[in-house]
Amino acid sequence: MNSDKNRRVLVIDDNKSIHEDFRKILSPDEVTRAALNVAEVELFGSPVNEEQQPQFEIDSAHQGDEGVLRVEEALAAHHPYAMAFVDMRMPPGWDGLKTTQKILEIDPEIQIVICTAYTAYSWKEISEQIGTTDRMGILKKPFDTVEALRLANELTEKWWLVHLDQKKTQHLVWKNKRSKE
Amino acid sequence: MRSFRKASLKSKQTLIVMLASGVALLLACSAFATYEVRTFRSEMAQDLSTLAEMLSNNTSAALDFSDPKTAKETLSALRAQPHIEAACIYDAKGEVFAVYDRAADGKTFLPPANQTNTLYYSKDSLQIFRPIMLNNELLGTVYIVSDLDALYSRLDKYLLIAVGVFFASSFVAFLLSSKLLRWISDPILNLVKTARTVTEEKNYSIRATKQSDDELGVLTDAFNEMLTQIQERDAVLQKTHIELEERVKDRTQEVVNSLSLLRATLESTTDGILVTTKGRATSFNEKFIEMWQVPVEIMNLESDQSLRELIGDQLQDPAQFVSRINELYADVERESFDLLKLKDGRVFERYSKPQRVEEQSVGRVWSFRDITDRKRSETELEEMHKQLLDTSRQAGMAEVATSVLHNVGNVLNSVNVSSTLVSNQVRKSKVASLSKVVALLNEHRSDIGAFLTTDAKGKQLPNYLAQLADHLVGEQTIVLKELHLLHENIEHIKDIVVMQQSYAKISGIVETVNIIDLVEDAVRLNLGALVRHGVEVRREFESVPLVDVEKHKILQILVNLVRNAKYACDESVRVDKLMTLRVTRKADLIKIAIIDNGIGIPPENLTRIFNHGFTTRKDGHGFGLHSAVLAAMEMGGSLKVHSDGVDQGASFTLEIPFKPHEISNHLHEF
Repeated sequence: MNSDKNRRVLVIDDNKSIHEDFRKILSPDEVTRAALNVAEVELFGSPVNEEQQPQFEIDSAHQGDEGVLRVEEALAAHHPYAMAFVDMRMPPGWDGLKTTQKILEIDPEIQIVICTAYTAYSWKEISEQIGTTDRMGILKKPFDTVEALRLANELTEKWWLVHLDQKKTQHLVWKNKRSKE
Repeated sequence: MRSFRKASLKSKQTLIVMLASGVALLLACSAFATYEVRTFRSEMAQDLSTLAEMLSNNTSAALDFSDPKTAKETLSALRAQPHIEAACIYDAKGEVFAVYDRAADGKTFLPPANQTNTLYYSKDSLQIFRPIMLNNELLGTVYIVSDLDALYSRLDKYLLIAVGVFFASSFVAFLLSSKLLRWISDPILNLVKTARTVTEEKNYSIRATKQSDDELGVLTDAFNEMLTQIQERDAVLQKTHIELEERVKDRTQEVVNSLSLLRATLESTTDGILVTTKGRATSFNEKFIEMWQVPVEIMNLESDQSLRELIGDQLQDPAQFVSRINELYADVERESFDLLKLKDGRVFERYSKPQRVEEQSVGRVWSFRDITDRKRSETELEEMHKQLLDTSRQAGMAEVATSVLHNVGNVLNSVNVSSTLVSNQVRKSKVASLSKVVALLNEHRSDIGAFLTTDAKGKQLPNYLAQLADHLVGEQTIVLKELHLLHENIEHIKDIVVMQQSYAKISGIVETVNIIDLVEDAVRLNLGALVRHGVEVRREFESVPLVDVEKHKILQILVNLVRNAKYACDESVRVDKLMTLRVTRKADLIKIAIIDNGIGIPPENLTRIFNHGFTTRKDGHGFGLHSAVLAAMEMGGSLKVHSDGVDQGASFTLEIPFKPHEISNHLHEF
């Protein structure tokens, strides 16, 4: 793993337009401003109207099982997703809860956000079914772009911190073991 | 004779022996007596003949000389012979010549007529005539009469001896026989005694003692053998009897059990049960009594007439009841099922069936069930069904509303994103750079030419402006694109809302519509989902006239059908997902077929698919097709389904009878 933070995000939704929405929010298709910014630094001392938004790497899956497959592939390639947005209703396949359950089973670090249009399930019901919820959030549709972006930012950051923490712990355990030897 | 039959064997035997020996003795005695009498008589005849011969010789001279005196003297010599009663001598002419009469007996002898040589017996005398011959010349005849006293005395003596011998020998025979007969009678009596004991004591283990090897021994053996057999048979019989008794006991218990079971069954049923045999109530349960409020005395009567009257009195139509009963009594094999309405408002079901014993009808079983509550529930159910109809109609509307909200929700998400994106784009637009450029140019307003040609910054400016222009065009394109999307999405929402509004407003009103427009509306309401799931929509529309129909109902059905078709395609694995909408006209029917090539319907579901609550979708509520078919029926139309099976697609055909549009536009009561 390189030092760059992991901003890989998986969107699992049966609705194509939702994928488009996420892509627009998390990975804006911007006209390149780099050259313009260089020129502006020369001309005005700093880039004009520049705000840095992290770019996320978006992958799509249209059904729950397909999403689980993506997660598996990413883990195998040592290139895991930091988080996934999972739609609650995805007929005819698995629903969001089942998909979430499966993903949490195979990926020990991934963060999950369940997107739902209705409050068909209460938070209590969701937590009862999933069991652990410390790696989970909820996003209500229609969602606010800022909310979606905030969740993506926070959770990828969280993933990163947890990941580092675990690495450190592993290292300490290893060191401890070696010093004992 | 009867006394003989009654007599004991021993006395019979004795009697027989005595009789036989008595007869034998009698015969023997009489034979001896006869022989003796005969011999004596012939001796007497011989003696008399000799005497006659002698007399003839002695008197021949006297005759020859006709000297009766001498002859008489000669005859008197006969006095020595006391048994001679009389004698007489006839001369040749047959005249009496001389007579001798014993005269001791007092009888006066009268000489009979002369006869020639004869000897004969009379009752109590023997008489003889003998010719007196001298030198072959007949001189006369001698006649002698002898009495039979000697014979009789001899006979008396014999009789005495015979009687004595008879009794003596009888006595001896009796003694002997009574001793000897035991040899025979004792074994028989023994047998008899044994038989009597067996008979009296019923003890077949007793055996007769065998006393000889003769026929009686064989008889004893046979008797004993017979007893053995009887004993064996008796044992077998006894065993069989015990078994039989056991079986009878078991059977009785079984019968008692099944009877009690029957009774319990009879009593535990909620039906009132009555059994009649030959016009008489033979069995019934408490429930029957309770249902009809029958006094128990009536049940015990010889005829069920009073019972029938009592029941008839409680009915709304007693005449019908009576005629029905008579019909059923007349036809013993008939089964019947009737409804009885009581005056008090109760309703009973009556089921009657022949009671059969081995295929033979022996009576009739009547069972009555109080279905008053059921009838009431049926009415209530009907009421509820009506309410449900209304509810499902509303639910159908709710279905549409849910669908609308879902679609709006998704579109709204895109609208949100688009608008945020546009505002972001505008906020961080490089348009702001233009003011900076303007400021820079203002700074160098005096020497603008030199600034642009010589100044390090000024020289970059035209190039930068070109880049900025490109960038701004790019930004504009993005914003325009987004705005276009935004516009499209807003249009979409507007469509959906308008549809929902029109749907909500027009409920229950007969409107003049073009069916094809309705079909298109239904598609539009589902358009988002159809596009999203890549379902191609093919339209095959015949031109149809404007019709007056309940628009909301048809729309409700069509929305349901289109959505179902979409789901069917969606759940199928095939890539060429296709929904065909076909509108055709046939006489006064408009047919709208919605045909998909999706997952199809298994045959067992074809009939259930319209059931309330039936759904194959996880989140379905089974209201859609149910309310759709109800709505179709309410309009006098029909909704039919066809599918060749799983993965063979399905087609739903809605048929609506139509009235060509008239100017009048009447309101339909909802």
